[in-house]
Amino acid sequence: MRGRMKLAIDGRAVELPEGATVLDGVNRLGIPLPQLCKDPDGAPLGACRTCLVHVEGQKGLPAACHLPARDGMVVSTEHPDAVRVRRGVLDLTLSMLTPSPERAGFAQVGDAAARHGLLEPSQAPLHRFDVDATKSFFVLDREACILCGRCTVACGEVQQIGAISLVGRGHATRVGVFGDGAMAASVCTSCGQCVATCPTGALRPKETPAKIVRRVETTSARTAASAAASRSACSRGSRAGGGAPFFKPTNAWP
Amino acid sequence: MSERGALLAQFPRERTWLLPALQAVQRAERWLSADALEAVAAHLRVPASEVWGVASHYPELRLTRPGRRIVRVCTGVSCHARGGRDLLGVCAERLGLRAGETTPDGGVTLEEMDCAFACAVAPVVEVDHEPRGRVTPGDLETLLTAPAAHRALPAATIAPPAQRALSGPPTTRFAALGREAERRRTGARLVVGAGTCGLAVGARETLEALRLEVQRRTLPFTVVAAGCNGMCWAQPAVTVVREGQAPRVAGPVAAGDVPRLLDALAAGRLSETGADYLARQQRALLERCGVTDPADIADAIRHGTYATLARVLADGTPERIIEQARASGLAGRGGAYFQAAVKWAACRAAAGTPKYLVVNGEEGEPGIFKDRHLMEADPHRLLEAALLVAYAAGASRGIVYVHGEAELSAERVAAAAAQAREWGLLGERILGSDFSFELELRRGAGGFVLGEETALLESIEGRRAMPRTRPPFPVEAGLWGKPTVINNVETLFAVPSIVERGGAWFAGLGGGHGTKLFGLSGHVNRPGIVELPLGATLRTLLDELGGGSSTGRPIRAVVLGGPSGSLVHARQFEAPLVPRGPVNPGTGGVVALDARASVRDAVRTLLAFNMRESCGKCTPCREGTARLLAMLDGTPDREGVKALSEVVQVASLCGLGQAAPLAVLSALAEFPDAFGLS
Repeated sequence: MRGRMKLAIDGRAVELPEGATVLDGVNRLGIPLPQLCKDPDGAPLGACRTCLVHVEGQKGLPAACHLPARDGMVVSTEHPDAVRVRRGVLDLTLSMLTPSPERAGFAQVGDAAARHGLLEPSQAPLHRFDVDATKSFFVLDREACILCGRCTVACGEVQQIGAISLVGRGHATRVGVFGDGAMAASVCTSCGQCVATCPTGALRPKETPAKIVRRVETTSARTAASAAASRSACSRGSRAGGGAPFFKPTNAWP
Repeated sequence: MSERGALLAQFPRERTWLLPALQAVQRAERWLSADALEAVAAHLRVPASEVWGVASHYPELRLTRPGRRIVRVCTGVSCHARGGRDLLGVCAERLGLRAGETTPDGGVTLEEMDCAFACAVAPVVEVDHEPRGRVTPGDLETLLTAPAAHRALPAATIAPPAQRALSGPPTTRFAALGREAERRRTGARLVVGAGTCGLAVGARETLEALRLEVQRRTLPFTVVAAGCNGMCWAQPAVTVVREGQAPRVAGPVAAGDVPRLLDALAAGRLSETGADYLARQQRALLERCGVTDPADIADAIRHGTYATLARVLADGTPERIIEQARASGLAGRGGAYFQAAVKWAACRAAAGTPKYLVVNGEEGEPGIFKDRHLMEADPHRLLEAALLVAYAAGASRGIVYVHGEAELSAERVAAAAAQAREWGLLGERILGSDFSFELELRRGAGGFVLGEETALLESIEGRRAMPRTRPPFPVEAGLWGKPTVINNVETLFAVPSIVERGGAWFAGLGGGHGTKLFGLSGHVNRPGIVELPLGATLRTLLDELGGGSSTGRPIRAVVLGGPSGSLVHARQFEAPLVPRGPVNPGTGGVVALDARASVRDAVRTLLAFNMRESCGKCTPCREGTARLLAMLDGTPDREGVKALSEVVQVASLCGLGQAAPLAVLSALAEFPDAFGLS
C-alpha cells in the first residue's frame, strides 16, 4: 500500500500516512510524551524540546514533533538517553516558573515534570514579573510562562490579530505587547485563542469576571493610563526592557 | 510629508522591509522611538506588537536615545587579550559612566562591544561607529574629545563601458569588456590597504599623503585604495605593483613615512615587509586581495574576474559546475562544513520558482573577520561566484546579507553590483545568454544566530531571527517557501577557481578539503588573515605565520572557532586542523592566549556571548546557557556542568545552542587548573 508507513514506537506497531511525524505516531498510540509547544491543530514550533525521542541508527535525540515518520523506523520514548535529556530540559523549563496557589501545578508542564520524577525545579527563576490582569476575562501571568510561543502564533497567525508577540532576546525573552505595555493597551479582542492554547495556565481565565459596568470604566481608564505608561517605558527603558512595567529581572545577568 | 514619512515611503508596504525600514529610521534619527516604531508598523501594515518584538530582538537596534557621541570599547576575546578591558576602565573613569550609560547632559554614551571584527588590530575602540585600532590608554583623551568625523573614502566613479558588444556569444561579448578594461589600464600602482583594519590604524591619512606626494613629485604611479592583503599587522601597508614584477609590500606606512617610502622606492631600496608571510601561504581565495582595486570593475576584469562566468555561459552547464564542486569536496566555510554541491543539486532539483541564492555575509562570530576581508578586498569575485552558483542551482534571485556594522563590506559589494549591472554582468540575460540573475543587498542588525541559515531567512522575511524547524530544508522550502541555497562568503570565494581549474585541483589541496582562511589575533606578533590548506596545524599558524607570541610568554591556549568553538591546549598545536577531526577549525578564528591570559575569563566571555546571543526560542539554549554561566562562578561542579552541557548540546534546536557548551567543556577538560580543579 503506497503512502502508508509502519513504525515501531516503544515496541508497538503503528501505521501512519505519508507526511505524518513521529509525534503523530506517539499520540496515536497514546504514549504520554511531553509536547508542550505543540498545538494539536498547529504546525510544530520546535521550541520546547520536550518531545525528544531515540531513533535506532540515528545520532542524537530528535524532537518527534518535526521528525518525519519513515517506514521501518524504530523509535523509543523510553530510551535512557532520551529520558535523561528530556528530564534535563523539563528541569530548565520548570526552573522558569514561580509556584503559587493560583498557578495550580502549571498544567501540562507540571504533569510532564512529575512523570519524569521532577517535583521541584533545581533552580530559582531568573526573572520575576507582575501578573497582567488588565483584561477583563483573562490574565497574562508571565511567572507561569515557558515561552513556548503557542499564544503568539494563535494571536498572529491563526487569528490575524497580532496583539501579542515574543519580545526581547535570550533569557529575557517574554510574551508582550507594544512597548512592553499592558495587555489592555493592545489591540487584543479577548478572542480567547491564546488562553485556549496555553499549556501552563500562564494565560488563564479570570476566576470571577469583572462586573460589566465596572469593566467599561476601568478598561477605558486603564487603556489610557497604560498607553501612557508604555510610551514612557519605551523611551526610558533600558535595552533589555528594564524599567518596563511588567518585566523585572531578578538579578543582574550580564 | 514628514522626513520620516518620506523615508518610509521608499519601502514597499510588505513585511520583508521591516528590518531595512527600522535601520533606515535609526540611521536618520539615531534611535527608534515609540513614535517611530508605530510609524513603521503603520506603513508596513505589521502589528505594532510584532514590530516591537522584532525591534527588541536585534541587538544593534536602539530603543533608548543614545548620547550625541557613542563610544564603544571592544572587550571580545582578542581585544580582552590586548587590553580592551583596561581601555573600558579608563573610558568609564574619564567619562564618569559605566558601560551602557549616557552622561546626564546626553553628551556621550559608553558601551561595551562583543566584537568589533577588527581583531587583528586589537584593542579596538569605536567612536561614532568609526573603529580605531591598536588603541593605547594614552590615545583615549584625543579619541574622546576630538570631533569624530565619518569620512568616506572618496568614491571613484567608474564609467560604464563606452561600447558593449550587443550581439554574439557570451565569450565575444566578454572579450569586448576585456578590451575596454585593457584600454583603461594604468601603469605602475601604489596600492594602500584600506580595509577595516587599515582604516582603523591610519590608512586614510596614508592614502591622502601618498596621493599628494605622488602628485607633487609627478611620479608615474596611480594610487589605489584597496582592501587588506591579510597582513593586518603591517597596516597601513603600501603594495608596489609594477607590470611583470611580483608585488612588493611595505608597512606599516604612516602618513609621515610617505616621503621616505617614495625616496626608497626611487632609489630602488624599498625594504619589503613580510614576504615570507605571503609566501608561506597557499593563496587561492586571497589571490587578488590587497592587489586589485575593489572599486573598479575594469581592474577586476583585468585580473581575470568574470572570465570563468563568461566561459560557463558560453559552453558550460549547471550540471558540470555541480560536478566540479562535488569533486572538489568544497564544504561550507560558515563552520558546519556541509557539502556545497549537495545544496546546489537539491535546489536545482526542487520544485518551485523563483529560486533564491542567499549569500551569508553576516559574520557575527567574535574572533573571525575573514568574510569582511574578502568582501572589502575583492567584491567582484564574490559576485562572479554568486552568479556561478545561481546558475548551477537554478536561482534567479539573490540576496547578499551583510552584517549591519560592516559598512565597508556593504559599500564595496553594493558598488561592485552596480558596476556589474552597468557592464552587463548582472541582471537580465547576462552576456546575452539565457541566464538572468537579480541581486539585492540586505543588512543585518546583529545576531550571532544569523549564522544559522533558517534564522537568516526569518530575518529577511522581517521576523525575529529564530531558527525554523527542519525539515523542510531551505533547498526545498526556504525564503518565502521557495527553494533557497545559502552559502557563506568564503565558500563562494572558492567557486570561480574550482570551476576554472577543476574540482580535482581544489581537492588536491588539504587532503581533499581545499584551502581555508584563518584569522589570527590575540597574543601573536603578526595578526591577520591567512590561507592554508586544511590539515595545517596551529603550530604553523601561530609560529610561522603569526610570528610567535607577542608577549615573550609562550602561547598556552587558542580559542579556535569563536563562541561555537573550543579552547585548544598547546599540546594539541601539532594536530592537523580537519573538519570533524579531533581539532576542528570551525570558522577559522584563531585567538592566541599567552601563559598569563585567563582561560577562565575567555570561557566566561564566550559563554556569556552565547547566552546573550541565544535567540530565545528554544528552552535548552535560552535557559541552559544562562545556568551554565552561573555554574562557572567559584569552583564549578564538573559533573553538573557536563550534565547540563549534554542537555544544551543534544536538545537545542539549532547549531548555536548545540555548540554553545563546547568552549566550557574543552576548557574544563584541558585547563582544569584554570577553574581550581585538578
